[in-house]
Amino acid sequence: MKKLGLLFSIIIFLGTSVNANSDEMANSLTKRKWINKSDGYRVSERSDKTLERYKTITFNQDRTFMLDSIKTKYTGNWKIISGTVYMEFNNPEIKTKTATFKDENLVIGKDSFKPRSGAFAGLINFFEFTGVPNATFGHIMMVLVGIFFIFLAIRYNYEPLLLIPIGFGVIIGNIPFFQAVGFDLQLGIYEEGSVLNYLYFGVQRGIYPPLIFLGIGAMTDFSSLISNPKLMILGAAAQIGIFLTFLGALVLGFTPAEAGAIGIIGGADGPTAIFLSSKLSPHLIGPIAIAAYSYMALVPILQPPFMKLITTKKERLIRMKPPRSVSKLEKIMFPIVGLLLTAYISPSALPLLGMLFFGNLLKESTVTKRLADTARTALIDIVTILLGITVGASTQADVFLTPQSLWIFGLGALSFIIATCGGLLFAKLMNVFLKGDNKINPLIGAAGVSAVPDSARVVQHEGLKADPTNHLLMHAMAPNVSGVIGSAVGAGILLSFLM
Amino acid sequence: MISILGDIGINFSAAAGSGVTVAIVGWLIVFAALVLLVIVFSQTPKIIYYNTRKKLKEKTKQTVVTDDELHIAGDVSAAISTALYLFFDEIHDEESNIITIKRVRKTYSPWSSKIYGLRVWPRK
Repeated sequence: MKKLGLLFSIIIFLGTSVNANSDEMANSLTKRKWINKSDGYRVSERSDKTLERYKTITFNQDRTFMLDSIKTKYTGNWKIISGTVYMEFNNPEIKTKTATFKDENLVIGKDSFKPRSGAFAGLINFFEFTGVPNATFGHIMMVLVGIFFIFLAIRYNYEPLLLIPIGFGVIIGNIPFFQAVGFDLQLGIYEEGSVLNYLYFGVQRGIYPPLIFLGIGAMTDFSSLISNPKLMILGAAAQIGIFLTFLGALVLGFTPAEAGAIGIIGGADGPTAIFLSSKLSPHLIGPIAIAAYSYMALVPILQPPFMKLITTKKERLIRMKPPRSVSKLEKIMFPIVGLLLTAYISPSALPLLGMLFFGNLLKESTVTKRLADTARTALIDIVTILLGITVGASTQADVFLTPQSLWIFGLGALSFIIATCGGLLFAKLMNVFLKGDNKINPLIGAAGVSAVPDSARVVQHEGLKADPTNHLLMHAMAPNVSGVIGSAVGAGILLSFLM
Repeated sequence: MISILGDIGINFSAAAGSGVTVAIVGWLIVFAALVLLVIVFSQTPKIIYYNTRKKLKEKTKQTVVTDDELHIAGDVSAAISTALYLFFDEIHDEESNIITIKRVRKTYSPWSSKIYGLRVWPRK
C-alpha cells in the first residue's frame, strides 16, 4: 500500500513538473518573436542570384502562430508535447513542423530562430525594406553613371535633353529595394503593374520611337537635301556601320537577331535603335538604347579625330556651292514621294518612315501649322521625357551589368567609328568623279551617321577650324537627314531579314 | 578580364554565309532606296521648271537656259528675306507716338508677389 502511494505521488510530481516545464516553454514562446535570416531567396526570375531574407514567427497565447515569410504569411496552431513544439499549419499542403529549444534559440529543421522583442522585429522588417540592405556594388556603380550623365549634360552641354532624363532615369532605376521571386512590390521597371513598367511599355512595344520621328519630321527642313540630292548617298554610305557591326556581333557569338539590334547602334539614331531592339531582342533594349544615346551625345568627341585622320587639310578647305532655294511644291512632294519610294522598298520601317514623312508634310504643307507645332514641341518633348526616363530606369544593375552589355558598348563605339569613316571615305570617292565647284567637302560625309543635328554641328565646327569663313552646316544637314532615312530603311531591312 | 567579358568567343564561321549575305544585301538596299530618291529629286526640278525654262527661252531668245538662271541661291533669298523683314520692321516704328499708360495700384501681398512666385527659374 505504501509502495502504491509512493508511485502515485511520483506520477503526480512528474506530471506537475512536466506541466510546469510546458508552461515555461509556452511563456518563452509567446513572450517574444522568433527571427531567422537564411539564404536561398531568388532576387528575380531573370537571375539565379540569391539573397538572405528574414522570417518571423509569432506564437500567440491562444495557441495559434503566424510564420511571416517574404512570400506569404502562414498561420496554424501550436502545442507542446514532451518539450517539443508541434506546429500544425492551416494550409493542409504543409506538413506539421517540430521545433526544439537549443541555447535559447528555437530550432526548426536546419533553421535557427533567435528570440527578439516585437519592436526589434518591426525595426528589422523596416530595415529590410529600405534600400541599404538591398544595395549592391552594381547599384552604386550605376547611380554614379547616372550622376556622370547629368554632369556631362550640365557641365559640357552634351545632349542635355537626352542625358538629363536618361541620367536621372538611371538613378531611379538603381534605387535598391526589396526584391524576391513571388513577392512583387510593383516598384521596379521590370515588375509587372508598376507605374514605371506601364511607362516602359512604350519602349518595349516600340511606341515612342515613331512618335519621336513624327516630331523630328515636323522639325526637319529637307530643303538642303532636295537642293543637292546627290548628298543623300552619303547618308547611305555611312550606314555601313550598321552592317559591319552586325557581322562583328555575329562573330562574337551573338544570335542574328541580337546582332541586328546591336548593329543599329551604328545608325546613330536613338529612336531607331530602340524600335529595332524592341522587335528583335527586347532583352537588350537597355544597353543598346544607352549605348546609342551615349554615343550620340559623345559625337563631338568621337568624330573629330577620324575626320582629321581621313581628310587632308586641302580637302577640309573645299568650299561648296551655296544650296539653291527650293520651291514649296518640291518641299511638299518630298515627304510623299520619299515615303512611297522608301516604304515600298522597306515596309518594315513603315512606323518610322511613315511618321517621319507625315511630320514633315505637316510642316511643309503650311496649312497644318497647329499640328506641326504640337508635333515638334509638346509631343516630342513629352515623348522624350518618357523615353529618356524609362530607358534610363531600364538599366537596373542586376539586368544591365552583364558581360553582354560591355560587348554592346564596345561594338557600339566601333559601329559609330565605322559609320563616320564610311561617310568620309565615300565623300572622298565622290570627289573623284565630281568636277569644279561641284566638289564636296569630305567632312560632310561624317554627318551621314545621322545623330541629328549633332554630327552636322561637328562638321560645321571642324570646317570652321580649317577655314573660319567656310560654313558647312547647311551642306552637312543633307547627309545628316538622309542618314535618318537611311538608318530607318536599314532598320526595316534588318527587321524583315531577321525577325 | 575573361570573367568580366563573359563566355563570348570569336567565331568567324558564325558570320559567314547568311550573315555576310544579309549585310551586303541590306547595305545595297539602303543604297538603292536613297539612290532612287536622288534620281527622282534630281529630275523633279527639270519637270517642275520645264514651262519656266521654255518661257525663258522664248523671252530671251536663248538656246540654253542654265540652272543658275532658274534658281535663286539660298543665300540670295536669305538676303532678300532679311531686307524685307527689316523694311516691314521699320514700318512698325512709324506708329503714332501717343501712348496711354493706365496706372494700376495693387496692394502688396506675398500671394501675388513675383519674388516668391513658383515660376522663378534658377539662373546660371
